[in-house]
Amino acid sequence: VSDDVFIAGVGATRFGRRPQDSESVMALEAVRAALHDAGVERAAIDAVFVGNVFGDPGLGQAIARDVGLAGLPVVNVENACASGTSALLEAAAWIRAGMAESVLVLGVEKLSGRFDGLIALPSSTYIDQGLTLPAIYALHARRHMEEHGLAPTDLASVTVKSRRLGAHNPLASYQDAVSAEEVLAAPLIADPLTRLMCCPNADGAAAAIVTGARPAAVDRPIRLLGSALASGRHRDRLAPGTSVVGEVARRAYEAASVGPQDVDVAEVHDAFVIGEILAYERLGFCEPGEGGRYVARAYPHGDDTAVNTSGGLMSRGHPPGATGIAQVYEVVRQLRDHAGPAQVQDADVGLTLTMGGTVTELETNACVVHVFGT
Amino acid sequence: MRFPACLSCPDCGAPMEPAELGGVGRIETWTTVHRAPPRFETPYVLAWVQLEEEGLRVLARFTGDGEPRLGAAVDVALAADGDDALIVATAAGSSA
Repeated sequence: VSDDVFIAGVGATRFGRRPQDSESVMALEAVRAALHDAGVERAAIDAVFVGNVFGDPGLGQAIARDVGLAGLPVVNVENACASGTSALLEAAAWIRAGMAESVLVLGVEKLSGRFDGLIALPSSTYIDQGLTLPAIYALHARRHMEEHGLAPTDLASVTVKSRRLGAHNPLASYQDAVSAEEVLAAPLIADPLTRLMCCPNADGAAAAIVTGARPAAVDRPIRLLGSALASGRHRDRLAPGTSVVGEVARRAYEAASVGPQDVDVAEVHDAFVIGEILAYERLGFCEPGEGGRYVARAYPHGDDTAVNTSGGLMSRGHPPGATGIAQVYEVVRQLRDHAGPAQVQDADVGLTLTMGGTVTELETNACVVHVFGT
Repeated sequence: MRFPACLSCPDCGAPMEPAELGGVGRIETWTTVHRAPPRFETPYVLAWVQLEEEGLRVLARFTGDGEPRLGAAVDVALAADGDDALIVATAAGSSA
Protein backbone atom coordinates (compact mmCIF):
# COMPACT_ATOMS: atom_id res chain seq x y z
CA VAL A 1 0.00 0.00 0.00
CA SER A 2 1.35 3.38 -1.06
CA ASP A 3 0.83 6.81 0.43
CA ASP A 4 2.33 8.26 -2.72
CA VAL A 5 0.10 8.93 -5.70
CA PHE A 6 1.63 9.72 -9.08
CA ILE A 7 0.18 11.03 -12.31
CA ALA A 8 2.06 8.65 -14.61
CA GLY A 9 0.59 9.94 -17.86
CA VAL A 10 -2.02 12.26 -19.35
CA GLY A 11 -3.89 12.51 -22.63
CA ALA A 12 -6.60 14.72 -24.08
CA THR A 13 -8.61 15.27 -27.24
CA ARG A 14 -9.18 18.43 -29.20
CA PHE A 15 -12.04 20.29 -27.50
CA GLY A 16 -14.91 21.90 -29.35
CA ARG A 17 -18.05 20.93 -31.22
CA ARG A 18 -17.79 17.28 -32.24
CA PRO A 19 -21.39 16.34 -33.10
CA GLN A 20 -20.39 13.21 -35.02
CA ASP A 21 -18.29 11.67 -32.22
CA SER A 22 -19.72 9.60 -29.36
CA GLU A 23 -18.35 9.80 -25.82
CA SER A 24 -16.57 6.47 -26.47
CA VAL A 25 -14.85 7.78 -29.61
CA MET A 26 -13.51 10.78 -27.70
CA ALA A 27 -12.63 8.63 -24.66
CA LEU A 28 -10.63 6.21 -26.81
CA GLU A 29 -8.51 9.08 -28.16
CA ALA A 30 -7.75 10.40 -24.66
CA VAL A 31 -7.12 6.93 -23.18
CA ARG A 32 -4.70 5.91 -25.94
CA ALA A 33 -2.82 9.17 -25.51
CA ALA A 34 -2.60 8.79 -21.72
CA LEU A 35 -1.43 5.13 -21.92
CA HIS A 36 1.19 6.12 -24.48
CA ASP A 37 2.30 9.07 -22.35
CA ALA A 38 2.65 6.83 -19.27
CA GLY A 39 4.37 4.13 -21.31
CA VAL A 40 2.06 1.40 -19.99
CA GLU A 41 -0.22 -1.22 -21.54
CA ARG A 42 -3.91 -1.66 -20.79
CA ALA A 43 -3.06 -4.77 -18.72
CA ALA A 44 -1.43 -2.52 -16.12
CA ILE A 45 -4.76 -0.79 -15.33
CA ASP A 46 -6.84 -2.27 -12.52
CA ALA A 47 -9.72 0.19 -12.10
CA VAL A 48 -11.54 2.89 -14.07
CA PHE A 49 -13.12 6.11 -12.73
CA VAL A 50 -15.19 8.15 -15.17
CA GLY A 51 -16.28 11.75 -14.60
CA ASN A 52 -19.28 12.80 -16.67
CA VAL A 53 -22.34 15.00 -16.10
CA PHE A 54 -24.95 14.76 -18.84
CA GLY A 55 -24.42 11.30 -20.38
CA ASP A 56 -26.53 8.17 -20.02
CA PRO A 57 -26.44 5.98 -16.90
CA GLY A 58 -23.70 3.38 -17.20
CA LEU A 59 -21.60 5.57 -19.48
CA GLY A 60 -18.35 4.54 -17.76
CA GLN A 61 -19.06 0.84 -18.27
CA ALA A 62 -19.96 1.44 -21.94
CA ILE A 63 -16.72 3.33 -22.39
CA ALA A 64 -14.65 0.63 -20.64
CA ARG A 65 -16.16 -1.88 -23.09
CA ASP A 66 -15.39 0.36 -26.06
CA VAL A 67 -11.80 1.25 -25.15
CA GLY A 68 -10.60 -2.27 -24.32
CA LEU A 69 -10.93 -2.20 -20.53
CA ALA A 70 -14.08 -4.32 -20.02
CA GLY A 71 -14.17 -6.39 -16.85
CA LEU A 72 -12.36 -3.93 -14.61
CA PRO A 73 -14.13 -2.27 -11.70
CA VAL A 74 -15.74 0.93 -13.07
CA VAL A 75 -17.06 3.83 -11.01
CA ASN A 76 -19.11 6.65 -12.55
CA VAL A 77 -18.64 10.03 -10.87
CA GLU A 78 -21.08 12.92 -11.36
CA ASN A 79 -20.17 16.06 -9.42
CA ALA A 80 -21.16 18.81 -11.87
CA CYS A 81 -18.17 20.68 -13.33
CA ALA A 82 -15.88 19.06 -10.76
CA SER A 83 -16.75 15.50 -11.90
CA GLY A 84 -13.31 14.80 -13.41
CA THR A 85 -11.33 16.13 -10.47
CA SER A 86 -13.70 14.35 -8.04
CA ALA A 87 -12.97 11.13 -9.96
CA LEU A 88 -9.23 11.77 -9.49
CA LEU A 89 -9.73 12.34 -5.77
CA GLU A 90 -11.60 9.02 -5.50
CA ALA A 91 -8.98 7.16 -7.53
CA ALA A 92 -6.22 8.48 -5.25
CA ALA A 93 -8.20 7.28 -2.23
CA TRP A 94 -8.47 3.78 -3.76
CA ILE A 95 -4.73 3.72 -4.33
CA ARG A 96 -3.94 4.90 -0.80
CA ALA A 97 -6.37 2.29 0.57
CA GLY A 98 -4.64 -0.47 -1.37
CA MET A 99 -7.75 -1.17 -3.46
CA ALA A 100 -5.94 -0.47 -6.76
CA GLU A 101 -2.42 0.15 -8.02
CA SER A 102 -2.98 1.80 -11.42
CA VAL A 103 -6.21 3.60 -12.19
CA LEU A 104 -7.50 5.20 -15.38
CA VAL A 105 -9.25 8.45 -14.55
CA LEU A 106 -11.27 9.74 -17.48
CA GLY A 107 -13.33 12.87 -17.89
CA VAL A 108 -15.66 12.99 -20.87
CA GLU A 109 -18.58 15.08 -22.06
CA LYS A 110 -20.69 15.50 -25.14
CA LEU A 111 -22.83 18.65 -25.05
CA SER A 112 -23.49 18.90 -28.82
CA GLY A 113 -27.08 17.88 -29.40
CA ARG A 114 -27.97 18.34 -25.71
CA PHE A 115 -27.76 22.10 -25.18
CA ASP A 116 -27.68 25.03 -27.53
CA GLY A 117 -25.83 27.69 -25.54
CA LEU A 118 -27.33 27.89 -22.06
CA ILE A 119 -27.26 24.71 -20.00
CA ALA A 120 -30.78 24.11 -18.68
CA LEU A 121 -31.17 23.51 -14.95
CA PRO A 122 -33.92 21.60 -13.16
CA SER A 123 -36.87 23.62 -11.84
CA SER A 124 -36.43 25.26 -8.43
CA THR A 125 -37.46 28.46 -6.69
CA TYR A 126 -34.50 30.37 -8.11
CA ILE A 127 -34.63 28.86 -11.59
CA ASP A 128 -38.36 29.60 -11.83
CA GLN A 129 -37.56 33.25 -11.02
CA GLY A 130 -35.38 33.29 -14.14
CA LEU A 131 -31.98 32.64 -12.59
CA THR A 132 -29.45 31.32 -15.13
CA LEU A 133 -25.86 30.15 -14.65
CA PRO A 134 -24.42 33.33 -16.24
CA ALA A 135 -26.76 35.42 -14.05
CA ILE A 136 -25.35 33.82 -10.88
CA TYR A 137 -21.86 34.95 -11.87
CA ALA A 138 -23.14 38.33 -13.06
CA LEU A 139 -24.61 38.97 -9.58
CA HIS A 140 -21.16 38.25 -8.09
CA ALA A 141 -19.48 40.48 -10.67
CA ARG A 142 -21.79 43.44 -10.01
CA ARG A 143 -21.20 43.14 -6.30
CA HIS A 144 -17.42 43.00 -6.75
CA MET A 145 -17.62 46.11 -8.96
CA GLU A 146 -19.54 48.01 -6.30
CA GLU A 147 -17.49 46.83 -3.32
CA HIS A 148 -13.98 46.79 -4.75
CA GLY A 149 -14.09 48.99 -7.84
CA LEU A 150 -13.74 46.12 -10.31
CA ALA A 151 -14.18 47.57 -13.82
CA PRO A 152 -15.69 45.99 -16.94
CA THR A 153 -12.22 46.33 -18.49
CA ASP A 154 -10.84 44.09 -15.68
CA LEU A 155 -13.44 41.48 -16.61
CA ALA A 156 -12.49 41.80 -20.28
CA SER A 157 -8.79 41.49 -19.49
CA VAL A 158 -9.32 37.94 -18.21
CA THR A 159 -10.69 36.91 -21.62
CA VAL A 160 -7.92 38.78 -23.44
CA LYS A 161 -5.25 36.98 -21.36
CA SER A 162 -6.90 33.57 -21.77
CA ARG A 163 -7.45 33.84 -25.49
CA ARG A 164 -3.86 35.01 -26.02
CA LEU A 165 -2.69 31.85 -24.22
CA GLY A 166 -5.32 29.68 -25.90
CA ALA A 167 -3.78 30.66 -29.24
CA HIS A 168 -0.83 28.42 -28.23
CA ASN A 169 -3.04 25.49 -27.21
CA PRO A 170 -3.64 23.12 -30.14
CA LEU A 171 -6.49 21.43 -28.20
CA ALA A 172 -8.49 24.62 -27.49
CA SER A 173 -11.86 25.40 -29.07
CA TYR A 174 -10.71 28.99 -29.71
CA GLN A 175 -7.14 29.47 -30.91
CA ASP A 176 -7.22 33.16 -31.72
CA ALA A 177 -6.66 36.29 -29.66
CA VAL A 178 -9.36 38.91 -29.02
CA SER A 179 -9.09 42.55 -27.99
CA ALA A 180 -10.67 44.11 -24.90
CA GLU A 181 -12.83 46.21 -27.25
CA GLU A 182 -14.18 43.08 -28.93
CA VAL A 183 -14.92 41.47 -25.56
CA LEU A 184 -16.76 44.53 -24.25
CA ALA A 185 -18.71 45.00 -27.51
CA ALA A 186 -19.97 41.40 -27.63
CA PRO A 187 -23.70 40.91 -26.90
CA LEU A 188 -24.68 40.99 -23.22
CA ILE A 189 -25.64 37.63 -21.72
CA ALA A 190 -26.23 38.82 -18.14
CA ASP A 191 -25.05 42.36 -17.47
CA PRO A 192 -22.08 43.02 -17.01
CA LEU A 193 -21.05 39.71 -18.63
CA THR A 194 -20.87 39.70 -22.42
CA ARG A 195 -20.80 36.57 -24.56
CA LEU A 196 -16.99 36.69 -24.66
CA MET A 197 -16.85 36.68 -20.84
CA CYS A 198 -18.69 33.32 -20.78
CA CYS A 199 -16.92 30.10 -21.78
CA PRO A 200 -18.27 28.17 -24.77
CA ASN A 201 -19.80 24.70 -24.38
CA ALA A 202 -17.53 21.98 -25.71
CA ASP A 203 -17.27 18.24 -26.34
CA GLY A 204 -14.13 16.31 -25.51
CA ALA A 205 -12.28 13.96 -23.19
CA ALA A 206 -9.16 13.94 -21.03
CA ALA A 207 -7.50 11.04 -19.21
CA ALA A 208 -4.86 10.46 -16.56
CA ILE A 209 -3.10 7.26 -15.50
CA VAL A 210 -2.80 7.40 -11.72
CA THR A 211 -0.44 5.03 -9.90
CA GLY A 212 0.82 4.20 -6.42
CA ALA A 213 4.24 3.12 -7.67
CA ARG A 214 6.70 5.63 -9.06
CA PRO A 215 6.24 5.43 -12.84
CA ALA A 216 9.30 3.84 -14.47
CA ALA A 217 8.84 5.14 -18.01
CA VAL A 218 8.61 8.85 -17.14
CA ASP A 219 11.57 11.24 -16.81
CA ARG A 220 9.95 13.59 -14.37
CA PRO A 221 7.18 11.86 -12.40
CA ILE A 222 4.48 14.16 -11.06
CA ARG A 223 3.04 13.58 -7.60
CA LEU A 224 -0.42 14.39 -6.33
CA LEU A 225 0.65 16.20 -3.15
CA GLY A 226 -2.73 16.94 -1.61
CA SER A 227 -6.43 17.29 -2.41
CA ALA A 228 -9.66 18.48 -0.86
CA LEU A 229 -13.34 18.50 -1.81
CA ALA A 230 -16.35 20.25 -0.31
CA SER A 231 -19.94 20.83 -1.27
CA GLY A 232 -21.67 24.15 -0.64
CA ARG A 233 -23.75 24.77 2.45
CA HIS A 234 -27.33 25.98 2.38
CA ARG A 235 -26.64 29.64 2.98
CA ASP A 236 -27.32 32.83 1.19
CA ARG A 237 -25.31 32.42 -1.98
CA LEU A 238 -23.87 35.89 -1.86
CA ALA A 239 -23.50 36.38 1.89
CA PRO A 240 -20.01 37.74 2.61
CA GLY A 241 -17.39 35.38 3.91
CA THR A 242 -19.26 32.16 3.23
CA SER A 243 -17.41 30.75 0.22
CA VAL A 244 -16.27 27.14 0.65
CA VAL A 245 -13.52 27.65 -1.94
CA GLY A 246 -11.09 29.25 0.49
CA GLU A 247 -11.72 26.46 2.97
CA VAL A 248 -11.10 23.76 0.34
CA ALA A 249 -7.89 25.52 -0.74
CA ARG A 250 -6.63 25.71 2.86
CA ARG A 251 -7.24 21.97 3.35
CA ALA A 252 -5.51 21.09 0.07
CA TYR A 253 -2.50 23.32 0.86
CA GLU A 254 -2.24 21.74 4.30
CA ALA A 255 -2.40 18.21 2.89
CA ALA A 256 0.31 19.14 0.36
CA SER A 257 2.43 21.05 2.91
CA VAL A 258 2.61 24.09 0.63
CA GLY A 259 1.11 27.58 0.67
CA PRO A 260 -0.28 29.79 -2.09
CA GLN A 261 3.11 31.53 -2.46
CA ASP A 262 4.61 28.17 -3.52
CA VAL A 263 2.21 27.60 -6.43
CA ASP A 264 3.95 28.27 -9.76
CA VAL A 265 1.10 27.42 -12.10
CA ALA A 266 -2.66 27.01 -11.63
CA GLU A 267 -5.62 26.04 -13.77
CA VAL A 268 -8.76 27.55 -12.26
CA HIS A 269 -12.44 27.43 -13.09
CA ASP A 270 -13.19 30.37 -15.38
CA ALA A 271 -16.58 29.30 -16.72
CA PHE A 272 -17.26 33.04 -16.41
CA VAL A 273 -14.44 35.58 -16.10
CA ILE A 274 -15.48 36.72 -12.62
CA GLY A 275 -14.91 33.10 -11.52
CA GLU A 276 -11.20 33.44 -12.30
CA ILE A 277 -10.96 36.78 -10.47
CA LEU A 278 -12.64 35.32 -7.38
CA ALA A 279 -10.37 32.24 -7.65
CA TYR A 280 -7.23 34.43 -7.37
CA GLU A 281 -8.56 35.79 -4.08
CA ARG A 282 -9.92 32.56 -2.62
CA LEU A 283 -6.79 30.57 -3.49
CA GLY A 284 -4.69 33.23 -1.73
CA PHE A 285 -2.80 34.49 -4.81
CA CYS A 286 -3.90 38.01 -3.79
CA GLU A 287 -5.91 39.69 -1.03
CA PRO A 288 -9.73 39.70 -1.09
CA GLY A 289 -10.94 42.50 -3.34
CA GLU A 290 -7.64 42.65 -5.27
CA GLY A 291 -8.58 40.07 -7.91
CA GLY A 292 -9.16 42.62 -10.64
CA ARG A 293 -5.63 43.90 -10.25
CA TYR A 294 -4.14 40.38 -10.22
CA VAL A 295 -5.16 39.66 -13.84
CA ALA A 296 -2.10 41.52 -15.15
CA ARG A 297 0.11 39.44 -12.82
CA ALA A 298 -1.45 36.07 -13.77
CA TYR A 299 0.36 36.10 -17.14
CA PRO A 300 3.04 37.12 -17.88
CA HIS A 301 3.54 36.11 -14.29
CA GLY A 302 6.94 37.22 -12.97
CA ASP A 303 7.19 35.82 -9.46
CA ASP A 304 3.43 35.40 -9.21
CA THR A 305 1.36 32.29 -9.91
CA ALA A 306 0.72 31.88 -13.63
CA VAL A 307 -3.00 31.18 -14.11
CA ASN A 308 -4.74 29.31 -16.92
CA THR A 309 -1.75 28.96 -19.24
CA SER A 310 -3.87 26.54 -21.31
CA GLY A 311 -6.20 29.43 -22.14
CA GLY A 312 -8.65 28.19 -19.51
CA LEU A 313 -12.25 27.25 -20.10
CA MET A 314 -12.57 30.56 -21.96
CA SER A 315 -10.39 29.17 -24.80
CA ARG A 316 -10.63 25.40 -24.35
CA GLY A 317 -14.38 25.47 -23.91
CA HIS A 318 -16.25 23.66 -21.15
CA PRO A 319 -17.02 19.95 -21.47
CA PRO A 320 -18.22 19.75 -17.82
CA GLY A 321 -17.25 16.13 -17.07
CA ALA A 322 -13.88 16.49 -18.82
CA THR A 323 -12.88 19.96 -17.65
CA GLY A 324 -11.16 18.92 -14.42
CA ILE A 325 -8.90 16.36 -16.09
CA ALA A 326 -8.19 18.81 -18.91
CA GLN A 327 -6.90 21.15 -16.18
CA VAL A 328 -4.78 18.32 -14.73
CA TYR A 329 -3.44 17.65 -18.24
CA GLU A 330 -2.14 21.24 -18.51
CA VAL A 331 -0.65 21.35 -14.99
CA VAL A 332 1.14 18.02 -15.45
CA ARG A 333 2.61 19.20 -18.76
CA GLN A 334 3.76 22.44 -17.15
CA LEU A 335 5.45 20.61 -14.26
CA ARG A 336 7.19 18.32 -16.75
CA ASP A 337 8.41 21.31 -18.76
CA HIS A 338 6.39 20.13 -21.79
CA ALA A 339 3.91 23.00 -22.07
CA GLY A 340 5.20 24.64 -25.25
CA PRO A 341 5.14 28.43 -25.79
CA ALA A 342 3.21 29.04 -22.55
CA GLN A 343 5.77 27.11 -20.46
CA VAL A 344 6.35 28.59 -17.00
CA GLN A 345 10.06 28.45 -16.10
CA ASP A 346 11.05 26.20 -13.17
CA ALA A 347 7.47 25.21 -12.36
CA ASP A 348 7.59 22.83 -9.38
CA VAL A 349 4.15 23.17 -7.79
CA GLY A 350 0.86 23.25 -9.68
CA LEU A 351 -2.79 23.48 -8.66
CA THR A 352 -6.23 22.84 -10.13
CA LEU A 353 -9.49 24.39 -8.93
CA THR A 354 -12.72 23.00 -10.35
CA MET A 355 -16.18 23.87 -9.11
CA GLY A 356 -19.70 24.10 -10.32
CA GLY A 357 -23.25 23.86 -9.40
CA THR A 358 -26.71 23.10 -10.50
CA VAL A 359 -28.28 22.98 -7.03
CA THR A 360 -28.76 26.73 -6.95
CA GLU A 361 -29.48 27.09 -3.23
CA LEU A 362 -25.89 25.97 -2.58
CA GLU A 363 -22.74 27.88 -3.45
CA THR A 364 -21.45 24.86 -5.36
CA ASN A 365 -22.32 21.20 -5.88
CA ALA A 366 -18.66 20.41 -5.40
CA CYS A 367 -15.41 22.31 -5.29
CA VAL A 368 -12.17 20.34 -5.70
CA VAL A 369 -8.60 21.56 -5.31
CA HIS A 370 -5.63 19.33 -6.18
CA VAL A 371 -2.00 20.29 -5.60
CA PHE A 372 0.70 18.62 -7.70
CA GLY A 373 4.47 18.63 -7.39
CA THR A 374 7.61 17.08 -8.77
CA MET B 1 -35.13 30.80 8.87
CA ARG B 2 -34.29 29.77 5.31
CA PHE B 3 -35.09 30.83 1.82
CA PRO B 4 -36.09 29.06 -0.35
CA ALA B 5 -38.25 26.89 1.89
CA CYS B 6 -36.63 23.59 2.91
CA LEU B 7 -38.13 20.16 3.59
CA SER B 8 -36.10 20.01 6.81
CA CYS B 9 -33.23 22.02 8.22
CA PRO B 10 -30.31 21.59 5.79
CA ASP B 11 -27.81 21.60 8.67
CA CYS B 12 -29.51 19.47 11.37
CA GLY B 13 -32.65 17.90 9.88
CA ALA B 14 -35.01 19.63 12.31
CA PRO B 15 -38.59 20.06 11.06
CA MET B 16 -39.34 23.44 9.49
CA GLU B 17 -42.55 25.41 9.23
CA PRO B 18 -43.61 27.86 6.57
CA ALA B 19 -43.37 31.50 7.62
CA GLU B 20 -44.55 34.71 6.06
CA LEU B 21 -41.76 37.09 5.15
CA GLY B 22 -41.87 40.85 5.56
CA GLY B 23 -41.89 42.78 2.33
CA VAL B 24 -39.19 45.38 2.95
CA GLY B 25 -35.57 45.02 1.90
CA ARG B 26 -32.52 46.48 0.21
CA ILE B 27 -30.84 45.58 -3.07
CA GLU B 28 -27.47 43.90 -2.58
CA THR B 29 -26.66 43.19 -6.22
CA TRP B 30 -28.47 42.83 -9.53
CA THR B 31 -28.14 41.83 -13.17
CA THR B 32 -30.10 42.33 -16.36
CA VAL B 33 -30.57 38.94 -17.99
CA HIS B 34 -30.43 39.02 -21.79
CA ARG B 35 -30.20 35.30 -22.57
CA ALA B 36 -32.61 32.96 -20.83
CA PRO B 37 -34.56 29.75 -21.46
CA PRO B 38 -37.40 30.31 -23.98
CA ARG B 39 -40.10 30.34 -21.29
CA PHE B 40 -38.80 33.73 -20.08
CA GLU B 41 -39.17 36.96 -22.03
CA THR B 42 -35.89 38.90 -22.04
CA PRO B 43 -34.51 41.25 -20.93
CA TYR B 44 -35.46 41.20 -17.25
CA VAL B 45 -33.73 42.36 -14.11
CA LEU B 46 -32.92 40.04 -11.21
CA ALA B 47 -32.12 41.63 -7.87
CA TRP B 48 -30.72 40.01 -4.78
CA VAL B 49 -32.61 41.58 -1.90
CA GLN B 50 -31.80 41.36 1.79
CA LEU B 51 -35.01 41.49 3.80
CA GLU B 52 -34.75 43.98 6.62
CA GLU B 53 -36.63 42.12 9.33
CA GLU B 54 -35.39 38.57 8.73
CA GLY B 55 -31.91 39.27 7.32
CA LEU B 56 -32.70 36.63 4.66
CA ARG B 57 -31.81 37.18 1.03
CA VAL B 58 -34.35 36.53 -1.71
CA LEU B 59 -33.99 36.62 -5.46
CA ALA B 60 -36.59 38.94 -6.98
CA ARG B 61 -37.56 40.35 -10.37
CA PHE B 62 -36.93 44.08 -10.19
CA THR B 63 -39.57 46.09 -11.99
CA GLY B 64 -39.55 49.82 -12.37
CA ASP B 65 -37.88 52.52 -14.35
CA GLY B 66 -34.14 52.51 -14.90
CA GLU B 67 -31.47 50.36 -13.33
CA PRO B 68 -31.65 49.29 -9.72
CA ARG B 69 -29.23 50.92 -7.33
CA LEU B 70 -27.23 49.01 -4.72
CA GLY B 71 -28.53 49.70 -1.24
CA ALA B 72 -31.85 51.02 -2.57
CA ALA B 73 -34.90 50.21 -0.45
CA VAL B 74 -37.46 47.98 -2.18
CA ASP B 75 -40.86 46.50 -1.51
CA VAL B 76 -41.00 42.77 -2.18
CA ALA B 77 -44.23 40.95 -3.00
CA LEU B 78 -45.57 37.90 -4.81
CA ALA B 79 -47.14 38.54 -8.19
CA ALA B 80 -49.09 36.08 -10.34
CA ASP B 81 -47.26 34.88 -13.45
CA GLY B 82 -49.61 32.56 -15.31
CA ASP B 83 -50.07 29.57 -12.98
CA ASP B 84 -46.92 30.43 -11.07
CA ALA B 85 -45.92 33.22 -8.74
CA LEU B 86 -42.98 35.54 -9.21
CA ILE B 87 -41.25 37.41 -6.42
CA VAL B 88 -41.19 41.02 -7.50
CA ALA B 89 -39.22 43.95 -6.07
CA THR B 90 -40.18 47.55 -6.71
CA ALA B 91 -38.68 50.81 -5.48
CA ALA B 92 -39.94 51.41 -1.91
CA GLY B 93 -43.21 53.31 -1.80
CA SER B 94 -43.77 53.03 -5.55
CA SER B 95 -45.85 49.84 -5.67
CA ALA B 96 -49.53 50.14 -6.42
